[in-house]
Amino acid sequence: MPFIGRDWRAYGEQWTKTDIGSWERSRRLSLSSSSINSNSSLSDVFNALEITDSVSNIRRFNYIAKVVQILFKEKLGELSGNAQRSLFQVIGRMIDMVLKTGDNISLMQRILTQFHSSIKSAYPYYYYIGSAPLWQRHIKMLTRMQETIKQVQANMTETDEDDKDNDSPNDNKLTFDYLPVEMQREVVRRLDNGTDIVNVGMINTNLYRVSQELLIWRQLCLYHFGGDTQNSDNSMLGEKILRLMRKQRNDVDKNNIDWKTAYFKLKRQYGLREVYAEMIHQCQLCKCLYWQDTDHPCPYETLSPSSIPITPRKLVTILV
Amino acid sequence: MAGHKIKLQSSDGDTFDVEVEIAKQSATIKTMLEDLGMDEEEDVIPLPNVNSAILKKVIQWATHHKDDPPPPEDDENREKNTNDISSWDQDFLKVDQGTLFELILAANYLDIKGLLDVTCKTVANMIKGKTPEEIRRTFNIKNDFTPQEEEQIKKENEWCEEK
Repeated sequence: MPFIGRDWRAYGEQWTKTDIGSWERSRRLSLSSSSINSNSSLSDVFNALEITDSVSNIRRFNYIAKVVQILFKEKLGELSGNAQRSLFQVIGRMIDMVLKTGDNISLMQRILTQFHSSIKSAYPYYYYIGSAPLWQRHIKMLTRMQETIKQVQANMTETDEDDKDNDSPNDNKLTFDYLPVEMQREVVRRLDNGTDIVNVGMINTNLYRVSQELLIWRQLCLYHFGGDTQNSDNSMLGEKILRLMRKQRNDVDKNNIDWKTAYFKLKRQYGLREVYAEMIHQCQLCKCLYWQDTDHPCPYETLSPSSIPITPRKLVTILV
Repeated sequence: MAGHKIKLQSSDGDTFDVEVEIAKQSATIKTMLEDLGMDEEEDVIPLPNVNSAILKKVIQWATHHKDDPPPPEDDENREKNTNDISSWDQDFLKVDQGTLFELILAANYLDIKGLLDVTCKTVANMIKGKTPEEIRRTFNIKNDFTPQEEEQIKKENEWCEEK
């Protein structure tokens, strides 16, 4: 079969300097539907999409976390050794990130516990790896990671107590508690999970009042369950919310809804909306996968570009 | 028009020369200039609620974002996407909590929507996924509930997390 590539008169390849000073071609990855399985392994794709490095970008963190979760929960038995190694690498980086920022600690804990238990469930057949020593190494590695995270939480407590002992000069500094209520509301409004809002309400009386505000819960309901017809107008509540109200029958008074109760009921029934700041997209022309914010060198650049977002689940289906 | 400058005066008396177009990202300043017909060349706009250090940060932010397209009106969906913070803003907001909250106040007073949005998102990210005790520790907030009140709130919220 003749080599099919770009015209030899086209522009040359782009080379970029790496961190260590060497040069490399800008990596790109093309997945035509026919050659997915034979040509690109998961670790290749991870490399090309710079998954490991992307972890330190909070716009991409949650997306990658989701991909990783799906992989070890459902696909562990189908991953090659190399793929598993990449997976561990990514998780290692995620922990670094958590250590650095102090955010997402509980998410990380959940991921490690889940990973630990899915590997543990492979005992004693080691179906996903085929070797006892390697299995033990994985378990050890995960246990160590879990301990690191625990350590972080413990450290958080200690340093804070030290602060109090010293009667820190921070006392005259502005804290979250002393922000005007409108600003606190601005912050609470940006939380997309009801549990977080409930937790904020359990901090102190002041924040409890903010967390009970009807408007915040109403907005949250509309955000997750309002469907595409989202509108601040009362008449457009979306099918899911209307159905719930019809089921309850008692009062379909639209101006008198307990939005907090409604939120948790709807959450149980439908689950929450998943939103990512940045997603991986697939070009519809060349089937190339790339991060939304970056560009990809499309060989069909004369045609009008079109791409579709790939959800983490879909990405996993493409990869494994 | 470009290069036209106005003077902004912070609460501690320092003045800053700022291009009009940059300063106008603050709706408060914009209104002052337009409605009050202030003479851009001469007058100094006093900002009694913002100190020098914070005003400097705000100007730095506004300078970087001067060419941003205007944000879509009342887009509640974007508001909750708290990870959607550009890498420049992430670096810009690597400051201590006191400064972060001062920036929120300043953004509110000066009515700069974009700045208010990223600062509030940054705080929201510090809250996400934490237990009440962890949030208290993060922000150094004291628990002022009586044990009874606390018990009652717990009970009130218990059913929320039943699966």
